[in-house]
Amino acid sequence: VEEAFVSALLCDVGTPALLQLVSDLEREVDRCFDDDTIACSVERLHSSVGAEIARRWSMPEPVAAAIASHHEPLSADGKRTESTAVATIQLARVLADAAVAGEEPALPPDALAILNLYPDDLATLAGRREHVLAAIEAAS
Amino acid sequence: VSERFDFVVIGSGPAGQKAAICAAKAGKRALVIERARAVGGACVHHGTIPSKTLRETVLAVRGLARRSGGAMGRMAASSSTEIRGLMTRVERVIGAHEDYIATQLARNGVAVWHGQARFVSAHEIEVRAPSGSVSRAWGDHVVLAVGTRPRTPPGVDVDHEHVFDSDSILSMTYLPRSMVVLGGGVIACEYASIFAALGVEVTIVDSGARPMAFLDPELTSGFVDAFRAHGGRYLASCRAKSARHDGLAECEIVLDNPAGHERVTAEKILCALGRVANVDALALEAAGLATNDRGLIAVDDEGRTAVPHIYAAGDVIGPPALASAAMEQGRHAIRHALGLPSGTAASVSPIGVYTIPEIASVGLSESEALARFGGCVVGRAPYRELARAHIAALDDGFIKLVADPAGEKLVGVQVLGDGASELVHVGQMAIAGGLEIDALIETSFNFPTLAEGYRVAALDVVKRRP
Repeated sequence: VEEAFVSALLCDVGTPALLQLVSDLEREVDRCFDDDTIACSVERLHSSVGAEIARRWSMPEPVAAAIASHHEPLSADGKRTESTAVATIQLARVLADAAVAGEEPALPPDALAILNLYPDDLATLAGRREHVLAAIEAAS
Repeated sequence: VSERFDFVVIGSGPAGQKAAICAAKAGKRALVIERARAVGGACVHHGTIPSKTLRETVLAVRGLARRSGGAMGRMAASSSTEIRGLMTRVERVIGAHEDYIATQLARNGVAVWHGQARFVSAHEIEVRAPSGSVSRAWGDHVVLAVGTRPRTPPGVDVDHEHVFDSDSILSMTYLPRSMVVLGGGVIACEYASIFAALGVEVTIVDSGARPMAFLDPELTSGFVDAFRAHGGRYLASCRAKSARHDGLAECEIVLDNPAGHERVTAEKILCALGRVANVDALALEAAGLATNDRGLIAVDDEGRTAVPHIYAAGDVIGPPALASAAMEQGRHAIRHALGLPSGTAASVSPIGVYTIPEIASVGLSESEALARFGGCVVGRAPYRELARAHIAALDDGFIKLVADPAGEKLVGVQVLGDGASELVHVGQMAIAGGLEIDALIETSFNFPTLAEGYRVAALDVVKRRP
């Protein structure tokens, strides 16, 4: 639970670090990069930068590994703890986005398979929607 | 349409595996239904295998420190030590075990279906896969080997972050400075002694007067002494009224003991207050079954439930809830269903408890022998009298032999200390083979070994003969 929570919380920590870097670079070279280039670079690099930040913060290695691969395709043959953590992050993201948007989540089949979730497990998770929204409300 | 099998086994833990393989070896068509992604049950994924992997690391480091007089292997565990770092091999160990079980089932022609089982009738079972697809199986016989999950009593707020149960304890990220273990059973004592050996300040809160009360009192008092020597605190006859994280920095446990209420704090809590059967989704009523007042499946001596063609085996039927016993129960159920004899050796099942120090027992304890025969003769071999124990720097431990009132026939063996779970098998074979105490004296054992203690203890029995 602890590792899954920390991994999901920090999975995009590379994004603000990269944006800060871009901002510093823009100041240094005195020119602006176009938004698409920035977005593309952040999308491509934020996982590996985030993992490096987690390692420098002395986070447990499974947390860093999960951040590094949180956008990677899942494989049931992969390392068990790592694939479970990544599947948890991917499913949590889909559920959270859907809860905020008030839509039905498009559940990722690979993540469901790795987490071995049955329809009744998903119904239990769906029942937590109000709780999740209340937590978001309280934190904002 | 249901696919027809001679035996449908629900669950692939030790009981389910052995039941299915026993049926297949007898030429019967067997199906195993497993809810989890891989075969093996809680034994492989949450309990026995992972905890013993951690324990093995602790023992290896501790043994090195002892044998080198502290020059090497000093355990430097601290609150920044990652639990996973102490059991890096666990994925490989679990994977190897899963592969071996899956291969063994396949080699014997056992079908394995992945899904959640639910009785439609006493013979027919619906299996729903995680994808939602549904299959049906018909079993002439059914074996329930669905295992158990941790029980969470009222007042204990298990959050798997600060307050763990025995299935989640090894998911803890860092080694805590302190831990309260609720319970005095096998799982509680195993984890308590492992964490104490790692330098964690562990307190066991046990409602009983002594832990693991089904064991010989000499074994349990030896365990408590060793646990206290490692800095552990054992609180007997004490119940946790409430146990929860305070939301800030520590866990708070309010104890209800004979002296009144006491408040204990710890960084983490392990709740190991029993387990409940995994039967909620089975729709037992459709098969004409129900759980007993303890939430378990009641069976007769042959493993039969109230519905004669449905057997149950393993943790789901209750104590002793050991993997070795579960395997035997699974085999026994099938052999009974097929009208085959189980053999007399199967009645002498050992008990192994992987505490530090290790505990093992087979046959009758001293009190059981006294109750059965009206008397008995006991002989002991303390480890301090064995050369191998000195060489390996094993301070505490003993082999205890229990003989009939004449001091001639071996009826029980209890062992405390390193190697106990292996050593007990010498006694098991001696009891199963009906060996006399004198045979252990006349037997030549390797020197130096701990097994040599059997001869020392047998000589002690002879000395005490009436």
